[in-house]
Amino acid sequence: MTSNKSLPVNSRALIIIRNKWSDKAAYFQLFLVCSFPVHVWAYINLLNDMPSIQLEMGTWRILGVASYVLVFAFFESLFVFALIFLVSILLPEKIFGIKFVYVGSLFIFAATIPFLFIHLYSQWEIKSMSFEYWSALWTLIGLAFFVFALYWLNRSLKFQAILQSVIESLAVLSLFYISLDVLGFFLIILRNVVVTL
Amino acid sequence: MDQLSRRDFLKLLAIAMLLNSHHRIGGLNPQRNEQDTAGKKLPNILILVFDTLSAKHIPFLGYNRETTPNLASFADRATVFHRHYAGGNFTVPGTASLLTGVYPWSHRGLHIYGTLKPEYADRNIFAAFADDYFISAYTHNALVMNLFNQFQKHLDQIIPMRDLAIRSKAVTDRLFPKDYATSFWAERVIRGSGLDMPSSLFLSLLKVAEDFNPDTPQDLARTYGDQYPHGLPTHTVGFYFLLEDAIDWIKAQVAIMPQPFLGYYHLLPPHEPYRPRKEFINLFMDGWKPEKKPALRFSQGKSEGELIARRRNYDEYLAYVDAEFGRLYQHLERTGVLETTYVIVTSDHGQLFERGIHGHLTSTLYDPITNIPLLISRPGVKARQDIYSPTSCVDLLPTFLYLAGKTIPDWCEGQLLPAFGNMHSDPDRRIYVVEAKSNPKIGPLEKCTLAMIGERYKLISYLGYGSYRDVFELYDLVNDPDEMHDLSQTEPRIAEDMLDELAVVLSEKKN
Repeated sequence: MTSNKSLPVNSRALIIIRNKWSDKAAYFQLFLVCSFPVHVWAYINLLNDMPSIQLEMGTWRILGVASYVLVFAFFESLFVFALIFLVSILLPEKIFGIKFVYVGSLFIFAATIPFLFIHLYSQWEIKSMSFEYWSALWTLIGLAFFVFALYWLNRSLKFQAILQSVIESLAVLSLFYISLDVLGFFLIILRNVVVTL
Repeated sequence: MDQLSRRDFLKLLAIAMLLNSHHRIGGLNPQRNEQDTAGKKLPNILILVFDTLSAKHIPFLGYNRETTPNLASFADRATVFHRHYAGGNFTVPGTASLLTGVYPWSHRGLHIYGTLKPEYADRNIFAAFADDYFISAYTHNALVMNLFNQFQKHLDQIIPMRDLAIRSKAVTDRLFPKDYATSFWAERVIRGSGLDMPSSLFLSLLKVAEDFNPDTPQDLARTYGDQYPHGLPTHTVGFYFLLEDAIDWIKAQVAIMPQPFLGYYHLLPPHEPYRPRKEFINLFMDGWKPEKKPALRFSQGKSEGELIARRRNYDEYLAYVDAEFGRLYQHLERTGVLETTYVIVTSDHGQLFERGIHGHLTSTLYDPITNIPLLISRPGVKARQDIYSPTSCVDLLPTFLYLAGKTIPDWCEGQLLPAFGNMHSDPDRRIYVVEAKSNPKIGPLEKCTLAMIGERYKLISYLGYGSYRDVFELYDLVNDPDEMHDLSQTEPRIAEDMLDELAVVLSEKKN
C-alpha cells in the first residue's frame, strides 16, 4: 500500500474522494442526517405561517407554497451535505476517517445550535445582548458541544451506540421528509409547466 | 461623471425596455390611435404613487413642517383634494382599490401578500384603457408587483423591479413567472419577512445578519455611504434602490412612450426604513412636538419620544422624496408634458406616529393612515382648485374613464371626482376604508376594521377582534380633524345610525 502523502495534492484529493465515496450508504445516511434539522425547521416555520396562508389561499395554492418550501429544504440539505463532504476531504483522515458519519452528524447537530438560536434572537426580542454577542455566544456553545461530543465519541463505545441509534432514527424520518420533497418537486413542475391556476 | 453616465444609462434602459415591450406586445393593440370616437385627441395619463405618503404630513394640507415645497408648486396648477381616502391601510388593499375602482370587500385584496379575485384581472384601470392606450407600469414594491402580475395581459410594458434597483435578491419572478403569486409567497416563507422567521435554517442566515445590520451591505455602503449615511432605500428580500434612478427613468420614459399613454409608477419612498440623502438628514431638528393623542386601541406601546423621532425621520425622508419629485415636475413642465398629460400624484395609504403606534400594519384606521394626498394636474390648466368634500381612491378609475370618453362599468364602486365631471358633490355620500387582513379572503367580513366617512362624521367600527369585539369610535372631522375626541358615547344616535348604515352595506358585500 502506498502512502497518499507521496502523491501530488490533486491526486491525493481524488484518491480521498474515491475512498470516501466508495461507502455510498454512509454518505446517504449523512445526507439524511443533514436533511433532518433543515426539514424540521422548514416544517415548523411553514406551519407557523399557515394561518395567514390559509386566509388567502385555497388548497391547490397552499400545496404549491409548501412544495416550494420543501424543495428548497431538499436543496439546502444537499448544500449542507456538500459542505461537510468538502470539509471531510480537506481535513486529515484521522479526524473524519471511518467515523465519517458520526463526526459529520455531530457537526450538523452542533451547527444547528447556533443557527437555530440566531434565528430566535428576533423572535424572542432579545434586548439584553447585541445580535453579534448573541451569535458569538451560541457559536461558542455549538463549538463546545462539538468538541465535547467528539471527545466522548473517541472514548465511549456506549456513546457511539447511542449516536448510531439516533442517526438511524433520524434517517427514517428524513426519508419520509424527502419522499414529500419529491412529491413537491412534481407539484412545482405541474404548476409551472402543465397548468397554472 | 459617474452620475451622468448612470442617467444616460437609465435613458438607454428606458429605450431598450420600450423596444422590448413593442416586441413583446407584437401588435397587441393594432387599433390604438390617438383620438377617441369624437375625434378629440386622447390625453396621456401619468399616475405617480408614492407609497405610504400621508396627507397629514403635507403642509398645504395642514401640516406644520415644510416637508413638500415642490409638491406645493405642483399644487398651484392642480386640483387638490383635501379629504381623499385610501381603500385600506396598507399596500395591497390601497393599491388594488385605486387600480380597480372597488373597495377591498369586493376585490378581496385583503392580505399583505394577497392577490385579487380572478375577475379583477380584467376589471382594472389597465384593462379599461388597454384598447387605445400604451400602458406602462413600474414599482419598487414587491406587493404591487404581485398585483401587476395579475393584470399583466393588459400591460404593454411591465418593468421588472430589479431593472431599476441597485441590488435585488428576489428570484421567483425569474424562475417561476407562470406561478409568480404562489412562488413569491413561498420565497417570503423561505427568506422570512422580518415578522416571521425564515423556513430556511442555514442559507437564510445571511438575510438574518442583514436584518440586524442597520447599514446596507458593505460593498454598497462603500459606494453609496457618503450620500446615504443611513443606508440605501430598501424594502424586503434584499432590494436596494435609488429613487433618483426611478425619477430619471420616468423622465426618459414619458418622452419616448407611444401616445396616448397610461403610465402607472408606484415608487416606494417614503415607506420605511427612512433613508434620505445626506442633505435631508437632520433637516427638521426643530424641537416641534405634535399634540399627544389618546391611545385607544391596538397600541404598540411605542413611547412618545420614539414616535416623535420616527416622525422626524419620516418627514426628512419625505423632504427627499419631494426634492426628487421636484426634479420630475420641472422636467415635465419644461418639456411640455404637462400640456398633454393628466398628472396624478397620490399614495396607497398613510403612516401613523401616534397613539403608541408607528407604521401602517395595524388594525386602526385613523386619518393619518387613511387620508392620502390626491393632486391632479389637467393638461394645459395652470390654476389651482381645492376640493374639501370626501373622496376615495376608487373614484380615480371612473373619473379617468369619463375623461377619456369611455363607459363607466357597472361594477365600479367609485364616483366621478368633484370638478371632474361631477360638478356637485353629494353631501350624503359615504367613503369607506377597509382593513381585513385577519379575515379569510372568501366569505363575509367578520374580523375587520371599517371606516365610514361622511361630509362631517367618521365612524370607525372594529368587528370580531378578541379584545375589541364590536366596538366603535365616532369623530367629527369638521370640528376635530385630529380625531382627539371620540363622540361614540356623547353622540350615540349619530353613531348608531351610521352603524346601521354600515351594517346594510356590509350585508351586501358577503362574497
